[in-house]
Amino acid sequence: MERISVYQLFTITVFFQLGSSVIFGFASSAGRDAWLAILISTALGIMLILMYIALMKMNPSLTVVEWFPAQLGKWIGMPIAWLYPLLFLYVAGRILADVKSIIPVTILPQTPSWFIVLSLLLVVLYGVSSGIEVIARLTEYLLPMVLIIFMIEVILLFFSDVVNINYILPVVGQGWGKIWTAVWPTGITQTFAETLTLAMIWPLVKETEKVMKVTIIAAIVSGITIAILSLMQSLVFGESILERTLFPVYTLMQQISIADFLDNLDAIVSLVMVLTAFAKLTLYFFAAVRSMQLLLNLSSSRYLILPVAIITYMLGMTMSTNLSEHIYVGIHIFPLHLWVPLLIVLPFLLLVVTVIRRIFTKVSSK
Amino acid sequence: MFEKSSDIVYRELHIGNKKGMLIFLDGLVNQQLMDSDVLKPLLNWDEQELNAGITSIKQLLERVVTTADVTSSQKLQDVTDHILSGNTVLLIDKMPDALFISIKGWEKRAIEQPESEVVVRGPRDGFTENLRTNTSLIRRRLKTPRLKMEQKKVGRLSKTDLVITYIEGIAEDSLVQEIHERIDRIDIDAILESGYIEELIDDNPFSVFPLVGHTERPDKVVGSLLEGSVGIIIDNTPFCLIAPQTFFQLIQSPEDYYQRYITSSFIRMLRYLFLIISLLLPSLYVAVTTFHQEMLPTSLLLSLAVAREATPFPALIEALIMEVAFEGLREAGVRLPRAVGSAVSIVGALVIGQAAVDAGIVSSPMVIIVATTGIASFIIPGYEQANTIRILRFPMMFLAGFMGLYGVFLGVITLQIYILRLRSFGVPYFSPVAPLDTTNLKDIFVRAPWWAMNKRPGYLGKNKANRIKHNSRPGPNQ
Repeated sequence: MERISVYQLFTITVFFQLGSSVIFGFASSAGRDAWLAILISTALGIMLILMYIALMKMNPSLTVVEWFPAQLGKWIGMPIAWLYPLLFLYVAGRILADVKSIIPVTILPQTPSWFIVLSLLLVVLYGVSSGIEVIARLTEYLLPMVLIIFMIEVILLFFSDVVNINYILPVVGQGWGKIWTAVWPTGITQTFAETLTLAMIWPLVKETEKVMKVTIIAAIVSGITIAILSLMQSLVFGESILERTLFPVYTLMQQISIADFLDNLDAIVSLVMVLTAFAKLTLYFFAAVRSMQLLLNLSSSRYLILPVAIITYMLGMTMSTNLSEHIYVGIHIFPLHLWVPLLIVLPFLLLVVTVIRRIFTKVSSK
Repeated sequence: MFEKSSDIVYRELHIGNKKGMLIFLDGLVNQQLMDSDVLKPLLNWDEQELNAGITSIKQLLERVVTTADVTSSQKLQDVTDHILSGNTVLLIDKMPDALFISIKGWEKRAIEQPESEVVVRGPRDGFTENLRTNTSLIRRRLKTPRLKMEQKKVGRLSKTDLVITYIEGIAEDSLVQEIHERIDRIDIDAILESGYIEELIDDNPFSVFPLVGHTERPDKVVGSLLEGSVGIIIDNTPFCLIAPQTFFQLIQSPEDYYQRYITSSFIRMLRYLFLIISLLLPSLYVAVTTFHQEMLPTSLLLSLAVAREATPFPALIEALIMEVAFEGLREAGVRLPRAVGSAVSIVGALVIGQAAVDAGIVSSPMVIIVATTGIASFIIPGYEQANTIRILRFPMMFLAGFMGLYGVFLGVITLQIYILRLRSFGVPYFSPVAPLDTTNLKDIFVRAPWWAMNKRPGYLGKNKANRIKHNSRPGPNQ
């Protein structure tokens, strides 16, 4: 059995949470207070993560798809558990569609999108078939590099003379209501509730008792990173431009301009964004393959990888006809109708059932 | 058995009242020692102890032959083996034992400066083709009985001697065991160079990267032994193998440890920079000029456009032509005799330099790119590792030509996954960066001062005894 270390879990989690969130920006519906909305989402998201970890502790060494059959029995648990591989597949397809939308707009305007998606998917296939250990090691040193690049870019922005502090004042000027629309349901589910996917790899961590601490630290780190990036967006663009920008981080880095020399760093930024999307896609892909392997009781995942890749490819290519549709579904429909029931309602019900069963068995054993 | 071998010598002689015979291969035996230490005492023997008479060959061994290394055996197979490996065999009429006298001596090269790994500061001695000379070079640097040298013979016909050397208590027992097992598995007709062994004990036989290290420098071998590696010294080659090997060892040069650590750290970072340049510079140039012109500052873009205006080829083809020409020139420079070599380099510099630009076949920025890449590939200390990077440059250029920076990005990620999959004798190839081991990072991106590197690298083994006394930092009051 392949195992991953605690530090590797940390880098995987941060990569996963930064994931595609940095591409399309986050909580832009909160306007100039987006950064505040993100911090609130982080706090609430950590509550959810605590719930997942409580479930994991009550179902030791089981993955998320095994919790349901273990607690609800085979006949109710199995159909519910099968929803999760489907969700993983769907989200993997969404991330592919994200990449499909960003690469032609930013760096390769003339290359056909199927070629871009297919070549990325091939690399993902190679990564997944190399096993979780290799994926973990990859994130291990790429994460510090990504964070350093973001840090340098933020510093460069301050030297580019585009920052205007008035853009974010007054804080909470439009009331808490507007912030709340960004927090629920998109803010909480995107990034933080998605962490449930990583419950597929929690049993593989060498020191299981440290999972809680590490995951929460990782959530705080990624929350703060996204908040800083979002704050910079508000500081540079102001509310009205920001709400009309498709790829805020990308557009943000285009503003960097120092001494007519450090210019046009946008290609690097879009590659960093693809890198985070790649990591997230690989992890979703791994989760999909592994959950199916566990549900089908297969000894090897070898035969699953190719079918899963084909389905992901078809999903990614056909998911949305254009970019606006993709973003609209991503913000308004998909979090409320898929993520809320699967990532919040069902785990909560499972928690209730598990706790009741525990009390019940304790009473009966006395 | 030895008919049709002109170099075998049978020398008949009388020892006392018995008939005897010396058999040896001409050219593998030191003639002077043969005369003074073997023939002379044997022939003079009966005069000294005329009455005694020899009863066993043991007496000869104990009293007569004045050579240090003498053994005996009764097997016929041993006799041929010893003759072939250069020993002299003494047979005596009506006695079952044969005496093997080791007075080997053949023409050999003197110890010279290793040509493939030159240093400015550091010892100048390099391994030679002689196994014993090589083991003595290592022995002289480590005066401890814990330095072990286990001898083996490999090769059905060549019966090449090799020595597995390690320091007991520092190298992992399981590692030594594993190397023994892998070498025992080899069944080949001949071993002519360390490369044979390297390929036959590899973890991943299809790897682009070398998974076993090799060096001509005894100081490098000893340094590796002290970190818990195992050395394999092979007869008839000046190259010694070191296992396991990790990716970051190809950035380290023995000189790093002899120079002041600030200089070494600077040079090491320079090597990383040039490693990246050597791998990616041509593909980045192709990607930027083909797909991402907007990344360049306007004035630079204009001068590039002017320079590329006359060129008939797309950037990818141009880069391929130039890189292949450069690689060919470089290979020719290595193979050609020294007298012709300089002529080739002059012609080459003219052809792929000024003349090609004047003729409008390639642009001058391309020449700069290829030249920089060429220089960069010489900065990597290991010759073979540099070759790996040279090969990988070409797929990267194709990716850049088809998909721009996105292609380069995918190529780099694929390469990373590839490297992370590799293991050398169970050690992950990218240790200690992934899996991360922070205590061992002191010798990776920088070279920490000796007084700060108090532990041996843990990823090579668990025997992490202290390397240097704590608080060894020098200062005026200590």
